[in-house]
Amino acid sequence: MNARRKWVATVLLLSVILITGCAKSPESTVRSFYRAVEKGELTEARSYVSSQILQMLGEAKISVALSGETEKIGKCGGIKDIDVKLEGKGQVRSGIAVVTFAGQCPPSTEKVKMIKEDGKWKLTAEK
Amino acid sequence: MASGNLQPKNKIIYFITLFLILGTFVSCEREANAPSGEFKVFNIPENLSNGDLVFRKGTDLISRCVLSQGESPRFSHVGVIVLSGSGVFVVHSLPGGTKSVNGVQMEPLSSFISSENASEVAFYRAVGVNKRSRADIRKYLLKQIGKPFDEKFQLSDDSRMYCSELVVKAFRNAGMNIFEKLPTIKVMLVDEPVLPPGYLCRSYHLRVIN
Repeated sequence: MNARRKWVATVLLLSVILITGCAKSPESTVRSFYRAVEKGELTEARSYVSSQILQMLGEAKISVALSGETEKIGKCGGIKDIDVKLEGKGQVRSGIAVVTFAGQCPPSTEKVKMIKEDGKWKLTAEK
Repeated sequence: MASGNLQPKNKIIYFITLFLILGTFVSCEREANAPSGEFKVFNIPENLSNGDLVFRKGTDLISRCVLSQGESPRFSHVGVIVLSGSGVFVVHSLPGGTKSVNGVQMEPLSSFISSENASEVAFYRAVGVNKRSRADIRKYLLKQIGKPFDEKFQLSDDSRMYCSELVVKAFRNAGMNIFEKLPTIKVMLVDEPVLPPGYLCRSYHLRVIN
């Protein structure tokens, strides 16, 4: 293998590693969703919700719902930790997220369901 | 008192028996009144029949914080009641998950609306549904069992079914086009308009069953 071929192979390998490495895992998507809601960054939070839910309710209603969650998290002193455990294969993952708060509120355990849309993991509603 | 003429040994047996019977009633009463914690028990209408619809909302994060907003019900799933000799069942279509079977399936109503699966439940009946159409709906549904879930959400394809599609086609097959004018949504990456389950209960041809 000459130097040029080695160079191309290395670049290709690095590209694959970077692309797969940069794609958010379903677990990190759930964590990012909670963190965005906590900070009140509703546009970002909405971006983690599946298009079916967005289309069904509309962005305005979803923003109202999420801002209510921001308020609840704020009353609990903010999020201390988010532990996500998901199972499944293919385009669907489901499991639980345990959120512990910095304040006095007890930890919250929620079921979560994720689907893959256009290569990205999104939160959706369970059937 | 009935125990007045009993021998001492029989008296002991009598009181032990009485104590056990009373104890049973007291413990049943306690169980019935026990706090249910986070478990929710839904009332099942007594007069359910073939072709009645049952809607549910999931128990997940998005169902709780997003679908629960506003006054109108927003259900995430729908199935159809099918009576069988052994009880009340729901025929519905689910995408395969870690715990669920993929596609059209028949599940006991008690499981379909259990607190593990549902945070809200509602029963609806089509106006004008008669014995003949109920039988046709039931027959159609039973024939669909085993078909895979329609992940492409195509109403034009009968080989796969999503939950609302199954309901629409069961009624259409019975000559009841009661969902034809409902609004649909456009979903990214899906070619055809999608009819979400929560939209079905907006049909003017449905009435809530209490």
